[in-house]
Amino acid sequence: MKNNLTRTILALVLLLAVMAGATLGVNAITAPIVEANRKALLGDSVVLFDRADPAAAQLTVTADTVQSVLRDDGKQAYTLHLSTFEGYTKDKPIELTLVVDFEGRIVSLSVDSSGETRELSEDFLPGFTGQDSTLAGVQLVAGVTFSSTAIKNAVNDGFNTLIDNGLFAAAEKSAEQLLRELLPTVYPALVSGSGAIQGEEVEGSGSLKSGYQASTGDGYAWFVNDGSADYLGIWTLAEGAKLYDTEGNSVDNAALLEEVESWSLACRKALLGDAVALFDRNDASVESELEIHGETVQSIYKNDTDQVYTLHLSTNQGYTKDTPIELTLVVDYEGKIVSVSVDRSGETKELDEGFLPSFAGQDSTLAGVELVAGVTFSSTAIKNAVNDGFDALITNGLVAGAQKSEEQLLQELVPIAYPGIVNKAGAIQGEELAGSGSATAGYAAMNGSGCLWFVDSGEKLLAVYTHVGGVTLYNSLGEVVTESADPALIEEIRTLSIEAIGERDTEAPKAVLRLLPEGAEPVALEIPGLTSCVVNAWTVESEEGSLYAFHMRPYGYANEVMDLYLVLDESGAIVGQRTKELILHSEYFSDYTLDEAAYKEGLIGLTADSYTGEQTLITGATMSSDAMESAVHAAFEAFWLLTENRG
Amino acid sequence: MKERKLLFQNPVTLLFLGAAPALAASADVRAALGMSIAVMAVLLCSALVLGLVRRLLPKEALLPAAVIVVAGFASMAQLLLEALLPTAFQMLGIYVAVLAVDLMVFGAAEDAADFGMSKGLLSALEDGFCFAVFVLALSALRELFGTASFAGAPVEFLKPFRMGLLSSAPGGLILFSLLLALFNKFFPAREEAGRNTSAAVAFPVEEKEEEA
Repeated sequence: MKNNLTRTILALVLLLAVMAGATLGVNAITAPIVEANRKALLGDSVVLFDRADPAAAQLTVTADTVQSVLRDDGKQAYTLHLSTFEGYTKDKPIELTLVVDFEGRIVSLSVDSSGETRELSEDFLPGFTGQDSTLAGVQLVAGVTFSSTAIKNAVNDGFNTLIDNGLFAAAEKSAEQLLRELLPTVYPALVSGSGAIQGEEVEGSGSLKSGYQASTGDGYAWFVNDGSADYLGIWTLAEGAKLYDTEGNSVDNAALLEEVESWSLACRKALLGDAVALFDRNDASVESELEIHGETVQSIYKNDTDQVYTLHLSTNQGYTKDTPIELTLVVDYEGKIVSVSVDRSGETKELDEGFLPSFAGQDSTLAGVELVAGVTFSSTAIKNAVNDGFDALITNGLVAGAQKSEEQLLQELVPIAYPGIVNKAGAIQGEELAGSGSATAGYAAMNGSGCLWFVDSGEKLLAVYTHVGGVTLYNSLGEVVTESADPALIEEIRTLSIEAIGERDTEAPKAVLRLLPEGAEPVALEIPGLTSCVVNAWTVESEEGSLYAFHMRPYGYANEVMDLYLVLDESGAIVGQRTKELILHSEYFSDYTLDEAAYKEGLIGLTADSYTGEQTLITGATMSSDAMESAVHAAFEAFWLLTENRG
Repeated sequence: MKERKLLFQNPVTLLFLGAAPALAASADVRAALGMSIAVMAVLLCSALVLGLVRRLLPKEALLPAAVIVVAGFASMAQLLLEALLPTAFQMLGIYVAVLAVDLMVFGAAEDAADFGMSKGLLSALEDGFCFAVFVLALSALRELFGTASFAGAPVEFLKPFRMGLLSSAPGGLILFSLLLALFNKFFPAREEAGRNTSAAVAFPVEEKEEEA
């Protein structure tokens, strides 16, 4: 036995030695071939840096974008392979090959692979050829600013790597380039998030050589040279004139400041033409008697020559709350929109190409303007801002308000009549339903709370059916007309709704039973008039009195449905809560702060009076906070309706 | 017999043996060809060596011997591929080395160890052929309809029908699964597994004693 084991081990060791020897032999034969292949590929190139083999690096490289640096003495150039994730598509890198000659000028730049969804313009890459390290002649491309900025930054990293390692000296940036680089700091409103200037070029005068005009006409940036030095002159309606040197220091040169201010005002006057200011929030010299509601409308100018009103609007209601969306709305004297344009925006999603043009020709009803799926926050913000603009014109008798059709009035009623079917932006979250009988069309709420129907039974109505609230009918004025409606119509809507979305499940789920006393037998509640995100409700008698359990399904992140269960006691205070998932898709982002246990504990004891909204705020998770807030309000509203109905 | 093996007892479609290298090599026909050659070479060489040494080793040592031999030949295949077919090698990356732990290769090696060199070589040849046919078919479909090219050469008339998904990993898995489903639908596995097939590795057939 022992002999057998010894034999086995010896045989295996021998086999191992033979195979290892054979492998080494093959390696000895193939290694020179592999080396020869590599040399053939590189040509005269010497590898100065290769991220795959950092031990052999001859350069110090700090930028993550630089993958390899080769020196070709034959072509007198350096070849860099760059890779950046900063483009529009963040998950696939843009891979570039940059060739720079020994004097620090770009020979060529090419994109090897990229996941970018938009094509760069044909001139962009060739525009790098011949540029030095300042990249002064390279312009970012409108519409693909993320991609073009990512490429420009990667090329910058390549140049910095070569310069930092002493391979050639950095080219000197021109004064204009240094001043241009100051703009994001001294006049951020003129520059987009990706660094592109959002303004038109204008001609200068005297010491003001050239400049940019903000789209709204209430700000200018000038490249100034008085014969001795170069400066950046900024003028805004709100703050007046300022001057900066190439290092960004503020300069107090009265003559130049005066020149900046006077020429800016002259340009502005030329821009406004015959326009007369009726209202300007940023111009204290304009005395206005107009009644303006809210903060959206920034200015209203009247032009009798063109017979139009030009309004500048600003709204923070878009998807990106930090940067306002600034718009210019032009309306003719008959109350029809001539144009809507976005002057500045920080929105991360591009609007559909047809959205802004769809405003042209519309009257104050905006009947033909559809919200854009996928960018509902941005498109709703813009539509609401235009509505505010019309409101200002109509309120002050500048244009007559158009008559909205009944259908439009009913459509606009939906967020108020049935908040359980819309998201925070007021967009319907539901599946379309085919009409039948008196109902011409409808929607089934995505959260299962119920459905709504547009009804034409001689009178146009909006019918809302919820499992808990039953049928509620509204007329185009927003009045509840259920009691005066034909019972046959109510029954028709109820039957149609149940056919579309099924019967209510009155059995309380485990999530609710766990919040109630042991052995409790919840009884399903009906709360007429309830149209919120409450999808089910029960009551149970306990030793401490009646308890009311509510199941809410508000719309959270990405309009997905969240589940929240609350139990209220007889006084309307929360005594129990259960939430399936407070932050949807939390594995994809972590910018929020939340102590989940404390958060949930903080709900206990709240009443409709003590609840301020702060108790459900989650820093960094606005959509989830908003969903929780609407759910808690819905529970309190349901309780109030219940007690109201019982008298 | 060969038709039966290729269709009804194909180790890739029946038991997912060799699935990892098959998927890895299926993005490009050139890579698929390189992998097929590597797989065939490793299979044949392993079967040859194990067939030669089987009588010199006790039964308990055959499995470790198979591990040593297969790993050795997989390493040699990787070195040779890097030297002789650098383009394919670039595309395949580490997946040639993965052959060292591939059960399809082990199956053929064990056949040689258990039943002798001739049967082992036959098994190796059959399995290698099955693998090559499957992976070449898969790679051709992925490359033609994923990137509208064949072995790197563009196929212009297919460009409007390109499906970018097929050139990505999820698309490869989807197509692999669809091909498997089609194979097993039209060529379902037979109940008995032959002694010389890789299916014997998973479903060994007990030798029946002849009735007196």
